[in-house]
Amino acid sequence: MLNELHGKPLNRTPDISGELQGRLTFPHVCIGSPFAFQQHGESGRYVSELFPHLAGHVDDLAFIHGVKTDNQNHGPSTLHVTTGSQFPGHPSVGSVVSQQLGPRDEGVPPYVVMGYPNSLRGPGFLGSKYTYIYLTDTESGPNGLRRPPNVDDARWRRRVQLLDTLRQGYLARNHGDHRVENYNATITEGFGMTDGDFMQAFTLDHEPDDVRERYGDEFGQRCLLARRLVASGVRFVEVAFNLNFVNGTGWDTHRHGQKDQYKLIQSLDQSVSALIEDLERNNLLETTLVVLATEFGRPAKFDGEGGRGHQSSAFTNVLFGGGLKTGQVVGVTDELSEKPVEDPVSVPDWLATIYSTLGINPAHELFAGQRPVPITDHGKPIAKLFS
Amino acid sequence: MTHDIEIRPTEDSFTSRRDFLRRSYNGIGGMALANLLADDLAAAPSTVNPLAARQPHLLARKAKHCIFLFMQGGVS
Repeated sequence: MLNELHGKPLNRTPDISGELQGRLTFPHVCIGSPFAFQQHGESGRYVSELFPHLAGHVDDLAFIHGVKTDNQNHGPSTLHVTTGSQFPGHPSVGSVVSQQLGPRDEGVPPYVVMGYPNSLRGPGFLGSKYTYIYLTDTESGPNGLRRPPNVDDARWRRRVQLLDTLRQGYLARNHGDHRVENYNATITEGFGMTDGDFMQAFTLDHEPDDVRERYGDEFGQRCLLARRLVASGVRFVEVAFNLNFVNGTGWDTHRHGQKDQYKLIQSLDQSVSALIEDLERNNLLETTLVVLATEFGRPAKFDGEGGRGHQSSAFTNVLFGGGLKTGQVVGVTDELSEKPVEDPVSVPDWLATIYSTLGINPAHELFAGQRPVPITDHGKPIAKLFS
Repeated sequence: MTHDIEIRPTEDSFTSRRDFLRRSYNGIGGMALANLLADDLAAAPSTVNPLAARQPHLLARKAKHCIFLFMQGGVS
């Protein structure tokens, strides 16, 4: 559609004159995609030529169009999409799942993040007991859980004993303080993981070479690790796409970032298609919901220097696996994909769909201290995705 | 001087035409509103009980795990 409108003036042309006019080269016209689109699968969905692998899996995906947030900035929008609230304090989806379902097996954390920790996700009012374990390097696993190579068994035991004495003293002095007790529970669980089988999940070199190669680059290896963590019993694995930017801007393709965006798309195509196939091969696709999410989309027009700006009024997120009825599109946007015109999906509805797929009631009340707070703000799961 | 005590109708004990209309104004409006609401109530399902247990929500119950791939930055 954008290609049909390519080069056409947009209705809401800003009245720009003087110095600005010279600087803003493109904002008056619709800019289509430079890549060709073709229909694929039984659903007949148009897919760009940059997705040669995912095109073959288009019927395995459910596209949710017309998700919207109320803020054009990365921080509040990310918070909104991952917690359901624009304001800090509400637990993010991983922490809610952690608290509601717990780990599947003992000695395994419920919630693992592959990415840098930040304030846009976390347990909020649920307390640190429901936080995540994070890692930035797939090979070594979570830093805090691996014993340094120069510490032998005897020295390790001495250290643990000394730490135990200190901890018992501190716990006795702070008896009844929830923050201290939460922290203690987290640390105790952490020690349980260092000694158990859980750390085996991080030995990616146990995987056959062809599997590792099929997953592709660093993001792909994180997807492979996500599959291994799920198989080992982790409930919720969050994978950040951008650890280090390949194109200079990551998905935030302003200005020159747009030019090399295709590299990110190729990486996504390779890794996510490998994940679908690998989950299926391991009989995990039906029991694992996979979410491809972002905090907002980008508009039909270019910004001043040939990139695209922010568009929170309508964007697309994708779901697959988890027993959902895929091969469907939910919601319709207008011809420039600027706003939903049919079946809009609010952030609470979007989160309620994820929770319902995992068997969690989206109206269930959590407690912020004494105050009951529903998991989602009147979110209704998207009915047509459930059989 | 009992004849000085004149018993005559006062504004308080008898309702003037103007007063009658003013007081009826709310009452008639109220009746009309009740009538309007009655139509709405009749149209609504009569079995709604605000204290009834909530309908069970949609649950797939198949998924036990979630992999959340987050494309921070804003994908289009």
